[in-house]
Amino acid sequence: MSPTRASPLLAAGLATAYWFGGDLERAAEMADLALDIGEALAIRKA
Amino acid sequence: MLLDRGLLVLEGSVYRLTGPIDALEVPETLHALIAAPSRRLSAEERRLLQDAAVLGKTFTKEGLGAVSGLEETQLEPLLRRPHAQGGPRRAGRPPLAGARPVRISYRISSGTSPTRRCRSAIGARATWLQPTIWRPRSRADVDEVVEVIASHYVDAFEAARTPRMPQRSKQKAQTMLVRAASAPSSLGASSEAQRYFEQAAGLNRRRRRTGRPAQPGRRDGLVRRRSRHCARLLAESIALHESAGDTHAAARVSGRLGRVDAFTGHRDEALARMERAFAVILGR
Repeated sequence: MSPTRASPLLAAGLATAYWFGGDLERAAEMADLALDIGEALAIRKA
Repeated sequence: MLLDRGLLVLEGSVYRLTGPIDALEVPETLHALIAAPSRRLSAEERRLLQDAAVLGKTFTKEGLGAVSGLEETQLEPLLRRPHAQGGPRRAGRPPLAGARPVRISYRISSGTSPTRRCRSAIGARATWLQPTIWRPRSRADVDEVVEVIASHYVDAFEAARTPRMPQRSKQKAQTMLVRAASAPSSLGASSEAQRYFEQAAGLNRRRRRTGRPAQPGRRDGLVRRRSRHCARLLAESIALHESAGDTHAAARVSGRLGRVDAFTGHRDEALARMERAFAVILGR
């Protein structure tokens, strides 16, 4: 997996971690970032 | 024997091992008995039998041809010779009677190290079997043979001596082992899957070049709640990637280790680890 393709998955993981930690604002930010990168790269899994 | 050496003791009505047994050797008293059937064969037949033994108890004519390098016209007369004891038999008939003894006696005569001919035959066997993986008729075909192919490549890796051959066999063995793990993993048999992943990673431990095979074990470790073991594997994978200079791969695995941290309640550590990994991957 290329570094670029790994980034949305990692961002999604961070979003989950922030969500369960109660930091909803940061979680939403990371989820948006994950979606943006994932959509740009057409990575359905992200 | 094991009893004589005190490695096996009778406790009540059962036998128990008293410690680990590194190697089981055929007793010297049985060497002659094992080698006897092969003495009745010609040199040509014995060589063919050795090749057949590499394939297993049963084999096809095509497989034997691929491993021995003989054309069908050369094989046919050899296979038709009436050796009631020790003669090779084709698939669909009773198991090859002489193959195992020859292989065992071969090992006895040359210690535990196969000769170049045997190593070459093991490699040829794995190569001949491989097309059944890449051009399968169905998913079931793949599931049925992938473990066998993997074990053949592991054999080839173990037997190989030249610098290039082990590397090729190792990569193929790891690919097959990881593939063999996918079926039990998808069925929730995470213990079985983890065994394959760790076997693949174990091939790397001898030469420590890349940490990739250790990585897939993380998911099954999580499923089994063996988070500590899982974290250890991931940390090992990170160290291997870093020692190979692949910082991005190390960061990806680090991100997964962060998920394990989060899963086990170490939220702050998890976030810090994942943020660091994310920064590396984005090149910040």
